[in-house]
Amino acid sequence: MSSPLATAFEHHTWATLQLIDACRKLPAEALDTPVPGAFGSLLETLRHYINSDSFYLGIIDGGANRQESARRLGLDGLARHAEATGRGWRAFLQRPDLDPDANQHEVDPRDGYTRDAPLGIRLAQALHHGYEHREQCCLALAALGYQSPDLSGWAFGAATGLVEEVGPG
Amino acid sequence: MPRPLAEDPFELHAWAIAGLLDACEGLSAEQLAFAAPGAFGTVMDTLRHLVEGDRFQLWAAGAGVPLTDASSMGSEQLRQVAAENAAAWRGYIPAHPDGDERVVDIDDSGWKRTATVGLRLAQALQHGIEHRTQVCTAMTLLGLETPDLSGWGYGVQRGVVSEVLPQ
Repeated sequence: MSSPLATAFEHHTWATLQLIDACRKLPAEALDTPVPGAFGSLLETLRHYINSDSFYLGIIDGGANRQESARRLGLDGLARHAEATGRGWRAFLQRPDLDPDANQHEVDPRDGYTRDAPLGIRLAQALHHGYEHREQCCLALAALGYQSPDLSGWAFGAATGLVEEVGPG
Repeated sequence: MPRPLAEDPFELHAWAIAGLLDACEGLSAEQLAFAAPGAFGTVMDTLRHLVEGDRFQLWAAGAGVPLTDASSMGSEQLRQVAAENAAAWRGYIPAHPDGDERVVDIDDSGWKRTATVGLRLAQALQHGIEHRTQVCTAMTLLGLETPDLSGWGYGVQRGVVSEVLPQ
């Protein structure tokens, strides 16, 4: 028996790696092109959300999987970063009796900013943030004239055997 | 016994769909007919698909709700279906605590799909955020302010997240 949310985080990591693979096929200038309506260029968006994902995990698991900043990494480094964060999510979500109402306090040592939020909201935000920026990247790929990868749950299920489909007849 | 971990992501999901429908309430017919490049379709079609698709995910997951055709629905009907979807997720999640549980759905044509509960929840969350992001991108391209549909926005509104900014 596993937490249903564990699959969502596996999907989250898988989708990021698929997106990075799709970006590997692009010319370098496409990665740096600002896209109207998006967070920024593809590379900026990837760096932002992959870095944030490890930051979110670090608050939640107390820094057990702390990594360097992803803000200057290229695609290979971003893939390694995302894989490491994914391993961290997997380890965390295997802990028994996780309480979504347990408050977690964070303090930014640079400026003293503080946030109190329960675990359930932090997990919801981590998924939301990743899915949101991946979709922005997919829209950016389309705006730049490239095919975007299928990052759906069904595609993840087909790749991992979590879904089986049988046609009529 | 703690609440299921999946509850908050689905409460955020429902809150964000309702918030997006609210934010689109005042859009003009021209704005609702605008489509961001690469998006599902126009803003209005994407809102309809978002709500109808969420209902499909619930139906396929075995939540005991009927499928719905939202293709010609207006905002009030979409809001009503979205509220029904939210209530159905609220009942489904505590009743299905095992992410490895396999659920079978068979559509009218005889297409049979077997998938774990964990995968079905991941797909539902992904589908919701994907299409909400498409609408928000369209709003940005139209020069409109987009609603804060993040987990932080949800948590602050629910009163469970507090922030203290630097002096």
